Amino acid sequence: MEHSDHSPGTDACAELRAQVRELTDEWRDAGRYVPRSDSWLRSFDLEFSKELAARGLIAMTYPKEFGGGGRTNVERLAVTEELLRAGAPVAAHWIGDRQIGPAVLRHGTRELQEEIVPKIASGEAVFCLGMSEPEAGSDLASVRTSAERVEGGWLVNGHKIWTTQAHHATHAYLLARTSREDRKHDGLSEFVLDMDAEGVRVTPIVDLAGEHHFNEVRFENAFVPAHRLIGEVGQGWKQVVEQLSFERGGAERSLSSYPVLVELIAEAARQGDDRELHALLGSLVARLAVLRRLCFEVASAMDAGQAPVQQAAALKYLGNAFEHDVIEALRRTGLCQDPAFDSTFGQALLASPAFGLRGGAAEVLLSLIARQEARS
Amino acid sequence: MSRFADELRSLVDDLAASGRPDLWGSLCDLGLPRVGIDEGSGGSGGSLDDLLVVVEALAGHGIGVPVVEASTADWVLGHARELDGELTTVVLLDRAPRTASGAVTAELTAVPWARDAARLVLCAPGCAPLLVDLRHTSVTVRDVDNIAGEPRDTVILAGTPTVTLDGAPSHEAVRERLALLWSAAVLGAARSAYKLTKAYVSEREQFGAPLLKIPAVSGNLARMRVQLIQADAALALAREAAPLSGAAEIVRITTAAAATEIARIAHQLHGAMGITDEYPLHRLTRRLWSWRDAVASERRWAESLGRRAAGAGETGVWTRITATGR
Repeated sequence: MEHSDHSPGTDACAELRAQVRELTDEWRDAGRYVPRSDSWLRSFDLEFSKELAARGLIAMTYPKEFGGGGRTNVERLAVTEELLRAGAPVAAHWIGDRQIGPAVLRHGTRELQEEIVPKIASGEAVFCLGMSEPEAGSDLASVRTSAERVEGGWLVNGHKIWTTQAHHATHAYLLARTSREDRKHDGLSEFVLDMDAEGVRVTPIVDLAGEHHFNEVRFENAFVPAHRLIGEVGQGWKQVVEQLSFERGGAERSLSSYPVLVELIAEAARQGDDRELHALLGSLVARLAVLRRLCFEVASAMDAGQAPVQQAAALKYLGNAFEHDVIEALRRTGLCQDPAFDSTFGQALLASPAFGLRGGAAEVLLSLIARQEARS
Repeated sequence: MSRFADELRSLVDDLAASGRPDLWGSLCDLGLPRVGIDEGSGGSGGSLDDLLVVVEALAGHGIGVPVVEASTADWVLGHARELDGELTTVVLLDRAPRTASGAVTAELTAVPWARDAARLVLCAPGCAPLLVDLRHTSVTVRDVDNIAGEPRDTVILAGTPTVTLDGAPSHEAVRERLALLWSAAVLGAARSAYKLTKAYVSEREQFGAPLLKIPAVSGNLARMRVQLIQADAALALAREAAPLSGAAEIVRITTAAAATEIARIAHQLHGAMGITDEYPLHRLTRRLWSWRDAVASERRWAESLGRRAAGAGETGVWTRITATGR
């Protein structure tokens, strides 16, 4: 059998994993966080994010001149996997690190890069995503929020919804309409906006778990300085599609319910002779191993300068199904009887409806894959 | 992937297209079933990766030839003696067969191609492989076909003399090799079923447009594609994962699940056309249904992996999974 070559990243990844494990163990043992499902969205601790930043564990792929680590996507994957595995409180930096920093680095002006990127790298800037709107649903191109050109910048008016962590955010990424065109994909632009700007109002949306992570955000004549435009006026659609393809292919699309799998493994060990449970666990472990491999392939492709759009969509589609099936598997055991509200099972189940929605619903991903197939 | 992948694939494609009556004979003349076995012991050289390409390509044509069985049997045999021109087949047993002074008495089911083979290699855990002469007078072979119409015979050994193959690979190694080869076969057939289906829904019109224009149809085609992406990743993982215990299970479970989904959707999208004897789809789907559970069923692989995972605990599972592909 041909063995894979030992690329220079191997040792570095092992070292990074050990570094993350040491940190999460320390924080968990000191009671500074409790591992939980969906921690990348639901577990917010700015102090932890700053600790990670101080150790060079966020902004890892950004250039060093902007405070980044100049590392590979494969190395970053090793870190994100370990953080998710530990159910660590990473929501404060996740969106900015994963999505906004790379978008600004790809399309932003030098001025914008110098202003924003180091703040993401240090954990100072907390980003929320202003994409979804009440009337638009999954159809991002139906965005109505407008940005109108005024002296020195833009005036934003409109209404965003499902804006995760907007109540903690220092900055918002904003997709807004800068002109009315015949094709609704035209005339969109991307901006970075200060959350403390005048005319920005945040109201909470409490979810079915009774938790407050989502918000509505309203903009009334909120001013955005000219240099806060990301990329080209009117090219927002092209840019956001690219951004979403990078967003989809990460480990957070498979590991949102990982604490449940941990319990399932322990339960299977306790029920030593339960063949049914072993078979169930075995097929889940096989799926996890393959998802993990796909994550690695997507990260490697990104390191090679490719945009693995189809693979990332497939990964998210398969990963979300896995996240649900893990929870369903625990239901087959006795552990889910009268589950406590904040039990591992209860927490994961209550978080689960969002798994398949954020970043594209299953049917949307399938139609994206189908369109690519029809072209090939 | 193998350096010779393209070359090997086009060699198989040409042979399949030539429509020769004795395809197996031609394959053997070219030495293809002995790719991945040292030239020193009568093999054709090359790596296991090369052999996987051959197996996947043959399976993609829906061709039923004993390539997995013969290549594995020869690989075992080649460790103990020089290979000749005879066809040897292989079976994996759960436990060592009953022997008395080297003679075996047993009833073996689902022995692939036994009616055509001259010899049989028996691999059981905890002992060296045994070689059986299938033409010995004490051997009875009863013909049984699997649902793909391929020989999976019952072999009755009544005090049949055996030869112990010292120095041959362990039961575990044979099991892993068979898992990889069958997975490649499943992937080849699954890929072809997908291509056939895609071509069909792109060409066939209903309500004035190709079927592909119907969202439910294109969605199902995408589901097939997703299964292929998953199966490809599993095979890549298993090919590179020498230190990853459980890789055999992972690749078999994944390709079996893909086979199930792809066969189901392929027939659904072909409508009644897919159930005729004349149309080529069944050559692929009947093989997917057989091969997904060949040697050991998906359920048994899953149980074995689950038991292993329970024993290893979360840390063990995670460490193994993240040890490959960095």
